[in-house]
Amino acid sequence: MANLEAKTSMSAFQLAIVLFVTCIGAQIMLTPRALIEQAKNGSWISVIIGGVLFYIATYLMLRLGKKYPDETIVEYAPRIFGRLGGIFVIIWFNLVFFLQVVTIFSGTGKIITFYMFDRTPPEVVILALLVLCTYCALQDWGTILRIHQFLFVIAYSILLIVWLTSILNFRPENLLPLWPVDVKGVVAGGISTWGMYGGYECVLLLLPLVYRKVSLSKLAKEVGLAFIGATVLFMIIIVVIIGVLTVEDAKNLPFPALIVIRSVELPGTFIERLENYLLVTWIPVVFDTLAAMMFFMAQICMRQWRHADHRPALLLLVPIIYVGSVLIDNPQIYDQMGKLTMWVGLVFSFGVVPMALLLSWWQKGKVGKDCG
Amino acid sequence: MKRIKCPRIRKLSADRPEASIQQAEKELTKLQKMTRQSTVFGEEIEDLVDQLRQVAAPSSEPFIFTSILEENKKLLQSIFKDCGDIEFRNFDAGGKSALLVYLEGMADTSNLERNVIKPLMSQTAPDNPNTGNLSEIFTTMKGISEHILGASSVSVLTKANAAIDAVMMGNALLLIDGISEGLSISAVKYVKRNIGGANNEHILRGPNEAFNEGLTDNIVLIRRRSRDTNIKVQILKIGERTKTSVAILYVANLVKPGLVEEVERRIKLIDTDKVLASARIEEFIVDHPWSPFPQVQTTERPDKVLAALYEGRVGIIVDGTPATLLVPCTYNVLMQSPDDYTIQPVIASLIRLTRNVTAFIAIYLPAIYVSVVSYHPGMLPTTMAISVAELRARTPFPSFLEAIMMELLLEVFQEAIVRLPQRLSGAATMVGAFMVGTTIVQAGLINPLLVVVVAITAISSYSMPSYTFNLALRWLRIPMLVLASILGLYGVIIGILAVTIHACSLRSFGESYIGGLFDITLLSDWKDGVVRLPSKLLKERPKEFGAKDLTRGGEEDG
Repeated sequence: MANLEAKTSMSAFQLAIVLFVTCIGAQIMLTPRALIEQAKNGSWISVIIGGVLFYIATYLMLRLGKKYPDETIVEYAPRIFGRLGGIFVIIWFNLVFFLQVVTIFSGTGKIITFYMFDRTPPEVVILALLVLCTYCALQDWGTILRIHQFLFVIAYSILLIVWLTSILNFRPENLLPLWPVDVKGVVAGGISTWGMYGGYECVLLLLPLVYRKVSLSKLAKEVGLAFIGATVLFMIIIVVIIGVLTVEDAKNLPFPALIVIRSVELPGTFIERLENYLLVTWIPVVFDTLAAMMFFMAQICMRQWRHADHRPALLLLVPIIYVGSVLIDNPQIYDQMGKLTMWVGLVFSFGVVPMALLLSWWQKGKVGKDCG
Repeated sequence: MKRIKCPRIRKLSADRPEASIQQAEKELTKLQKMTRQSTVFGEEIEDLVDQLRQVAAPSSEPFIFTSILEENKKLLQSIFKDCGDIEFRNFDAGGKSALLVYLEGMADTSNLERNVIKPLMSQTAPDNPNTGNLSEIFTTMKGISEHILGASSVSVLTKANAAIDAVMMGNALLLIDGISEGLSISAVKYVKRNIGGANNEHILRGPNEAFNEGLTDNIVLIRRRSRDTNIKVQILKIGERTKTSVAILYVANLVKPGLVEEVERRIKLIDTDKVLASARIEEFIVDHPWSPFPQVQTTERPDKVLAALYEGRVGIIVDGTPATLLVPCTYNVLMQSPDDYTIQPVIASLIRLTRNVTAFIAIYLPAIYVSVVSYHPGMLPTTMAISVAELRARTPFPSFLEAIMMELLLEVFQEAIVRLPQRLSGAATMVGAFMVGTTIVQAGLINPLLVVVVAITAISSYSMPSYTFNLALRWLRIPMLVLASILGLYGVIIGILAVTIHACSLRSFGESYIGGLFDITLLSDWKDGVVRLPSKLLKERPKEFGAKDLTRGGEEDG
């Protein structure tokens, strides 16, 4: 068949959209409580710190990726770290996605059963979402990219509209003091926002798909836009939660965002119980993050095993993801998993990637010297 | 002054003896001898060819023509045995026996009489000294067609299969004794429907002509609307037995490279005995035959086909079907109607947006109703939740069963209205409306709110410009209802996302079915997609079909 569709490549802006939708997922509902508990009124500053910090991490990844323009980290990691070191890095990289995926599945299952189906076991909810994400991740990248763009326009705009109705209960005085007393907490909060921004590691896999003529500075600008967008969205969520509930209330509630929206009343309208509407608009947001991450995991396995198709690897991963999600069955384990995921991700972003960059510079310099 | 001495002029033959008249005469005689010899060789080769043709026919041919007319006639009669409508007309042509074979009712007999039989019969016998080189003319079909016949389109046939096909298509086959070839004479004329209005695609303003069942008529309807020589027509024969003519139409300097070849390849791969309708071709050429969504646009309007061709798409016209196929097909083109271009752009844009909303309602409204009523009544305003609960208390069935029953009833009524004779369909509509609208509700079998929901859903699906897309929406309601009954609103969202994934994964000749709608790189297509801007601003063709020339150059061919 003639190849009528040369759409496996994407623009820098499309990469930014993928980055945006992959970063923003379940954590907009799951993380705020822990962040507010840690950074209190300075949570919004933590979000900004997190945005800057993880943008730097992403920039380092872009630099690394640009050094090997037609390859993903799976191909060039063994050349940088050696065969065994490379395998270790690839497993670590896949672990970052795996831990995020199981944590998100587990958290989503709990929220949905808690607010929508109190008598339905979370396993059923997780299974339904897992089947859907698997169906999506089984598709080719062109399809997934289109779904991302589709949801970027539709789901995020509706989510934002529903969320902004909570401004009706917003009290600016709850935000005071604006400047944090606990600077240490704010900085620690900034680091812990990794859970919110996590997912940006996908650039290491997607960079070869971006048109080769796109320069590093252009990529950095577009990716910067994605981070600005995500930071603004996270700030809106955190600021509204504190503005409606106060710090004291927010840190004692499991899912403060849903309590915020539940308290909204729109007299004279048809709409009531807005938390259901918010959950309904949030599910597509979670879905696109999960589907993308599952696709990335399958891609890593496919490339590592030298397969031509990612689907067998994905189908192999699905039961492991399900079991992993179901095993996180209480809040303590969930918190521990969250912390573990964060540290695995942070070490990868600020340990493995900079080291890879340094090693690649050193290796290229050495080759240059050896060649005279 | 120096005097110039002129040389004496002499005969050329004096200097060059080979240029003498005698020498020229000698060479001419040699040439005449060679010509005579070549004529003899030619005749001998012809005899040799005739002898070779006497051997058994190849496996792909039923027989081979001989130079004896009676033998050819017998062979044809054995092929057309028990075909009472095949006419064998014997007559005398230039002193030789001739035979005209044609299909009664498919061939224009007056045309044949005027342009074939009369000219041939008027030729006198070749042994008559007044006829000059008539004997030479009557040795080949080519000569006869060039010098005697008045028919506009003829072709010499050497293969029996081609001759049989020609007769079955309505052409006349001429055979003459002593010539081992046939001559196909185009004289097709049969009873057909006149060009009428579109039956299924009514528009308020704009042209009303629609295709009929004749391939040539349909091509003419397109040609008449454009004098563009870049509109190309390729005709293929599909169907082992029916040998249906299928025309591929495209604009050569616009169509995406590779698209025509791909369409042609897929059509040629069709392995079937019969092609009676274009829908048959559609099923063979689509990428995902199991999908409920139509992946080929169908139309009976020539203006719509022409507009599509000028967007870089390809048209497929099938002989015997007024429904023409257009590829690639996307969600966007299915949501457009020719009327959008005859009304004010602002109104057209609003109508298009409404269509998109109604498409959503047509699939998901019953599912949303079931999920809200069964799982999330708290989402309704308190007074409404109470009244719904009150209404539901009067009906014995759960909301899911109620909805399924209503859907079934609706489908039954729709089928009945489509299948019944036109005079009875009104009665069926009355019975349906009265029965569902009043009796079932009064009997307490169905909740009246559900009747309202199903009615809105049905009307929404009727507003789709494409009937096949409407069918897809109707089909999707059932799985959505099942999901809503199992997982409530969560199930509905899962369903919406599953449909979105499926629609994004569909490809129609390489183009994404719905993905182009929100593709950042194709946002400029919104100008004539989700909305419609004034024609002055529509200076570019849609990017999504990959036309070679994106600039319309001021044309208004939308």
